[in-house]
Amino acid sequence: MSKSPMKIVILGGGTAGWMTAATLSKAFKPEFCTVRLIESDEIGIVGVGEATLPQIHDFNKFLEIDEPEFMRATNATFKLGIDFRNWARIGDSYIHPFGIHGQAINGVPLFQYWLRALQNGHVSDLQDYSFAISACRHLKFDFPVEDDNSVRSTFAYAYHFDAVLYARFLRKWATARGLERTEGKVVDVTLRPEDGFIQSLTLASGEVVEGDLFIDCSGFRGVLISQALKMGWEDWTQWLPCDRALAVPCDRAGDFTPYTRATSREAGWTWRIPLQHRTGNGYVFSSQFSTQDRAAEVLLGGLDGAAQAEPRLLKFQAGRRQQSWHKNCLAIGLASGFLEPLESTSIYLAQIASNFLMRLFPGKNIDPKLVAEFNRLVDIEYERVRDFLILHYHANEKPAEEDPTGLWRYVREMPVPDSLTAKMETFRHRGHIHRYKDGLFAPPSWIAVYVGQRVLPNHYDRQVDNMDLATILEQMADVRQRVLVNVAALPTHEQFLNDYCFDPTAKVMLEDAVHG
Amino acid sequence: MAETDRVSKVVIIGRDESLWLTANVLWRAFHQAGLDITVIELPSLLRPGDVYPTLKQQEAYHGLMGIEEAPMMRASQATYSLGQRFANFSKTRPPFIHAYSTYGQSINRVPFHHHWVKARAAGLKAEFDDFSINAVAARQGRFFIPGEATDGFANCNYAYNLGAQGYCRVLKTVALERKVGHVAARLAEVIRDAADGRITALKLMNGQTVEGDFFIDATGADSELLGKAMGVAFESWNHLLPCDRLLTTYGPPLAPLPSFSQVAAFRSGWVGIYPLQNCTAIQQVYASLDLTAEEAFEAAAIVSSMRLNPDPVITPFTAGTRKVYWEKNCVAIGEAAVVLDPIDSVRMHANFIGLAHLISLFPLDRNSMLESKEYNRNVSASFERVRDYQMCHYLLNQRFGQPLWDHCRQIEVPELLRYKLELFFARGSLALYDDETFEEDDWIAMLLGHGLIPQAYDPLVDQTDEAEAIRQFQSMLGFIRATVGPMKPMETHLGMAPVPV
Repeated sequence: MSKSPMKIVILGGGTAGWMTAATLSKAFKPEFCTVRLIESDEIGIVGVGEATLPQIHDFNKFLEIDEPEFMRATNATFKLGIDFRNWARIGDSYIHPFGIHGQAINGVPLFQYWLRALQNGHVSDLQDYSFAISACRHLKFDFPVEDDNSVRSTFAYAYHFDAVLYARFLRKWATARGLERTEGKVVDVTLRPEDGFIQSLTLASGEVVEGDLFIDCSGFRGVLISQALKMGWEDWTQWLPCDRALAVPCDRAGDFTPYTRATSREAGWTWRIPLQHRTGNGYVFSSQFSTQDRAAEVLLGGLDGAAQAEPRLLKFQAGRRQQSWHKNCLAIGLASGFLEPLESTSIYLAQIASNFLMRLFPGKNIDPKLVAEFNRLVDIEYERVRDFLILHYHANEKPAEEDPTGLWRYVREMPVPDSLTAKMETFRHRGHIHRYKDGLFAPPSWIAVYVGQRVLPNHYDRQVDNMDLATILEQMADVRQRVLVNVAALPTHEQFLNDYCFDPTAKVMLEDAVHG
Repeated sequence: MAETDRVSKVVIIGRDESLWLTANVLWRAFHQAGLDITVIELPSLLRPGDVYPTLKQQEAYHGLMGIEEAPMMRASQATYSLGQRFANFSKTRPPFIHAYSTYGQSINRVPFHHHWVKARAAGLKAEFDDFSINAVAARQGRFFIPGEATDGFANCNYAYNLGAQGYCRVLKTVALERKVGHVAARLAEVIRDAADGRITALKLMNGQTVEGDFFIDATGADSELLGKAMGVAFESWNHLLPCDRLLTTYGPPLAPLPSFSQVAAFRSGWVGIYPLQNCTAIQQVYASLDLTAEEAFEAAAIVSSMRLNPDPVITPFTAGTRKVYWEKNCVAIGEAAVVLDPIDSVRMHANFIGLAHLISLFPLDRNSMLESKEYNRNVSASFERVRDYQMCHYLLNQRFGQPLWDHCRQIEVPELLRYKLELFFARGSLALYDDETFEEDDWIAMLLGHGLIPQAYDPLVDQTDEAEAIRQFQSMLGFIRATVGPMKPMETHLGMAPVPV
């Protein structure tokens, strides 16, 4: 190659920055493209306990990351789903699993058979048909099997990890492969007078960093995309009113869950993310409905171990950048959009954005068609997640006595996007979910959340009537039984994790971390 | 739970494939679910030598309907098709095969076609379709059933050319064995509820009245129920797809039998050649402004270079769609819903687009068919994506100085397709939308085949050095050669006597 290599500059060393850096440095040979990441130790990164989706396996596979090594380095645990507590009503609990509620019968989801049984007075808990949920409830874990006939093939898994350690792990990975990392803070951005593209960044040290493509992973501030290029923000607060989070780690106590817990609260919801060495906690709340002091009280009151620090406050606004890619600057992570971590989508969204970048990689002369396509794809992803999140809030039945702040009444009564209204209508009628091509989430996820939020269809798919009710009930009982028997044979999450991640040297380090 | 007033009686009226496919699909989906299906069969419009060319999805639908392949093939004098060969759409470019398989393999994680675009610019002689097992097998007059030998390299499928009369006989026989109610008659009157406008019964010429909860219009382009009785308007796509005549006839069987069909453009349209076991079906599609009926037959004979049955049928048509496909208690399937240009063999598949959505949204309550909204939304998007694909054959032609083709290059392209074409031309990236029938490789093969070569390829291609790329290309071509070599001719797969060479 005769041309000089393309220069990519990534600003920001949080999860998004390092994921993008790792992806690009894996994909490029240095003579083709150089990647440089600028981060400042002065600027804190947002990561606390971080929960992921199964799509992270694609990322790890692409980087050829060794799973136990990665899990040890980030104090990771396994995740099979999210336990939503108190959402539709106080006292409710449902798990949105990474998996289906039983295998389809004659090509029709088991859910539809369950509906028929229910509508004929045979009440059972839909969750009892999900292997992943049952494993969660019993605090068990093992890897899925490949045999499609086994209930143990009906799920996927993800991780919880310490996001600070994760960024550090990826940093080590990327710098070991030649990625250039610069410590420094950007004090000025120089734009090219002729077209307003970014020409260079000036660091506090005085160094001027030039580049062909700048990736803004600087978080909410959007140092490049927003501050320098003035790209606007589309505000979604009307649907997702939470705008603050308090985060605090606590000692590991209580159940060692292979799932995240998301508990609805008076002005938002709290997360509980189990890590190997501690538990990450946080309270996502709306400043319209709670003071910070009150939020801290709620958060600390709900911990199952001693707090390890003062709660740290984060401010945000739900929404997305009007265009994530503009001129020669492309925002990934929070600079591109923010959706609260209710469904653990932030790492996925950063990952998919860097995949889109790879697929539409521009070269030095950026074709606006590629920019438009990137933005189209990113917009689809954000909108799909947005609608799914809104559903969790909107579909609640909390009476006044369960809703002291009035948040839950507000979200129940607010107008929702038309795209969601249409989905809910079809579901309410007959449990039908149109499968779309791009973006999260697939029908089993929608089913789990609709039913968990007490949105039940009035009818069921007529194809289910091909089987008589007695046979259906028998088959359903058989699924429940197979789930129970198979889950009983699994090791506990804790046993499995200890065996899988065991490493004598790491053990010593862990003890140091805990006691030293 | 809400009480439902269930749909218990479905009446399907129509003829030929739309009628019998609907009957079989519905029977298979709901036969034990207490659904009473009555078929009102209008006189067939089929003639000897008529053909249904299909897409690769057909096989799966046969599975769904419980139609066994081998007897169906025999009864309908059918052949297999590995793809379609498009010829004469440009005076300078060679014909190409749109194969029902993937093309090449990614190199260093970059999709194959980007590497091909680069290599082509650097002088590579191999055509894009040389990297498709299907296309190479088709050119060599061979056929194969995809399996282990091909799975690791490519995703291969096949379609059919089905003799229409025989195929409909099979579908009808199966449906009648299944004991669907059957009346052969003509329609006299559609009776509608005075208050809410829904159809309550069909009055037939034989004096019979057939009542029902739910009516399916499979009457073809006449759209007797949805269009005429319910008054759902037809929206013409003639400004997008200007051909308006379909001439059908047939010639003698080809020996050996080709394992592909051929679409050859000529001055006023194109001629499709679809091999069957006992004859060769011909479909000629043209613009009536450009060609008289007498000239049309002559042109078909010249383009196909065949002695054709001199009694062709010419059917006028206007490509276009009904505004909705499901109105009150009436759904239209097939041409009663959408009249597609016959190019790309999609007319058969249009039935399945409607039926697949109808199964998953089959109405639950005879009094409130809330499903229609979702159905209309999804089906309309599917039809439009198919139409967009078809339009490309016309838009991208390079037959300069011929009025029809010059006009086609000037057609104003719908927004979603324009976006897709511009992105592909800029960089070889393909934007796929929801509800696409044709997949990424279908689009790429067609666009490249018509000469829409991207201006730029993915720059990541440059990370693979040329020697390595050449080695990989050779290895792919070598694999295809070795795989196709032992394949047998079509006759062997059909249990026919081999043609002496």
